[in-house]
Amino acid sequence: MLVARPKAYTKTFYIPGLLIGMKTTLQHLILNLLHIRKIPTIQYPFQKRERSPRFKGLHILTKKLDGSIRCTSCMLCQTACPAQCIKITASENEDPKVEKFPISFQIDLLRCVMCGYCEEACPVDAIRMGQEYEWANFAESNYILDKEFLSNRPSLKGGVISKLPT
Amino acid sequence: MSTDSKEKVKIIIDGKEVLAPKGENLLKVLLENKAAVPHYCYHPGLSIAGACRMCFVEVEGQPRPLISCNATVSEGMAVKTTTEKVKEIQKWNLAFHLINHPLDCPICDQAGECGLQNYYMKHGKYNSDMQENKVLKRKVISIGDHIMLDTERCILCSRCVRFFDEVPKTSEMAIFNRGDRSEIGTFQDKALNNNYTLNSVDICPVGALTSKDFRFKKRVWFLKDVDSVCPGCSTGCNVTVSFDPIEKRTYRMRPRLNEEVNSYWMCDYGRLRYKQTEPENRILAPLKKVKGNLLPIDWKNAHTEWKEILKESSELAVLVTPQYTSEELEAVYHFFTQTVKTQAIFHTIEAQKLSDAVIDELLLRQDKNPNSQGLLSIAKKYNLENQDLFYFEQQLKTKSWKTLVVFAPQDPQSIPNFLSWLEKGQNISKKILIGTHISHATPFFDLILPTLTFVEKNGTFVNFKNMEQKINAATRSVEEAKPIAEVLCL
Repeated sequence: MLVARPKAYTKTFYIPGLLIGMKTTLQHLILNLLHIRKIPTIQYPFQKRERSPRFKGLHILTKKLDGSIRCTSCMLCQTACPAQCIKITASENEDPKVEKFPISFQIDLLRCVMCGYCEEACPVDAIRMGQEYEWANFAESNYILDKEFLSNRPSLKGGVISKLPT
Repeated sequence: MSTDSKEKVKIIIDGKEVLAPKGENLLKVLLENKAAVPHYCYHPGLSIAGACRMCFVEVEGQPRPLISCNATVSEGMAVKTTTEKVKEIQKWNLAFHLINHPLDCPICDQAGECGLQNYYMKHGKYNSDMQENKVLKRKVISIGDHIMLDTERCILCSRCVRFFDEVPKTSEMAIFNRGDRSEIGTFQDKALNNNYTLNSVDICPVGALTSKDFRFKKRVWFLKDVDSVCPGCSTGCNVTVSFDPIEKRTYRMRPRLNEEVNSYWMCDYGRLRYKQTEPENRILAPLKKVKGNLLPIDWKNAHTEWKEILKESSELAVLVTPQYTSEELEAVYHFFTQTVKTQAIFHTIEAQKLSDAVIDELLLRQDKNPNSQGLLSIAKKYNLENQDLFYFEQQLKTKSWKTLVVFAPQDPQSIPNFLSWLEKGQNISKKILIGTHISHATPFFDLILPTLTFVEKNGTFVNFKNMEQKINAATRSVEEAKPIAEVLCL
């Protein structure tokens, strides 16, 4: 089948578009060079963006006033979790007033989708989403967070105490 | 007591006409006709208490609503279960029940199947106006080997009290104190001492009585239920097996209604039989003895090994225990009589145990095998019913068998003296064990093939009354285990 070749002048149609693009680029270059406008870029590791207080970062297990873990291992976060990243093992506490506590509480951070449903589901304000978001690491096994890390990691400076009545 | 013999009368339930036996309990008839009347203290297997005041209905011609559990059916009764007045009663009655309830659902094992939770979502949904402090009572009291008591959660329906009065007839529990300080318990917190204690956990509509065995193990909404039959003894109680489909593990067994066998109950011994299915003591892979050590092999090697043994063996004996389903036993008898062509198939049924009556208050029998009658009828079919364990031990002295195939019990406690002849049978060169559990006798065998426990297979158990009852597969705790038919016909 024969196809008619397009006329030669049609090849030059890209030139106006190119010029419009170049104009935009030059405009931005000049504006940024002369500091006429604030640049949105920040110098990341030295300078950090401000986050909303509702930011969903690394999980925190809160503590009671006496410093013990607040979680009662009711498994509601585990039930609500859409990624199934929480694994709790409940156990009998020596104190009959506490009765049930998590002997292990693991969050698989690689599975977690940071939706915050665990925080919503918790009836005793035991799990919260914190502000940290820099968790680059070398091994996959380091991403399975245990109870000690979630409640007592150095950046929490002794842990977060929830003041809600028990 | 069959309801068929009673005269049937017409009654009207919420405008719908139904036939009901005259003089029958009204709440029972309502529940049978799918009217969702809330109730706590009424249990079809127990007497009437009228303690919870939840089952109010309006009956035409009566001046005020009445509790349906204490009413009887009479001709032309017009019952209304969903009027505004009834709803109001149910709502504020529930509020009354919850006044002193501690609301510790996060740590309560009953959460998810709790009468208070369910009825609050269905009939309650009020805002509590209670200004006073809650009355605090005692919590975490151990009563007996299986039960944990929490008097604070109790709503004083008295089901457990009536249960111990009426079913095991031990009258161990009672309500102490008066008014809002009333609490259930045993005298001076004495341990409950009978074989039916865990039924009180089932019938408790709230979390006051919880099972120590199930305590904090699993939330109930993660579990799935399958209908099955208890393998603990020849009574064959109908049960529901609860298992976690993700973890592939069985967590509990609860009785299921069957008027002819176990009614609403089952014994603690049988209830804990599910522990035999846990992978901890199981044979996890086929094992072969190499230079005195049992080493795991794959099924392909086990296959060739088994084939060679069958080919070589001219003198082969088989020992069967009545712990397998009828289908499996039929397969065993058929395979060894038709394919291998041996008549030396022995069973371990003890004849004097078969006729024995119950050995505890209600249900447990001395014959701890679920399928003795099934095995006996299949053995009769092949004319081998006289070859029992005693006969086997006698034959062991005279005959010179080269190969022995043992179908081990799935519950090692059920036939404790089952392998007492092992020392005498030294001249048997090849011993093969087909079973589920590792025991002290396992090292004596040359080839060990894992098979399934009762929660992992479908089949039939025949109980002491010759009733055939079906068991259903729940989950496979041991991946490598295979059903008997596959093991035999490898």
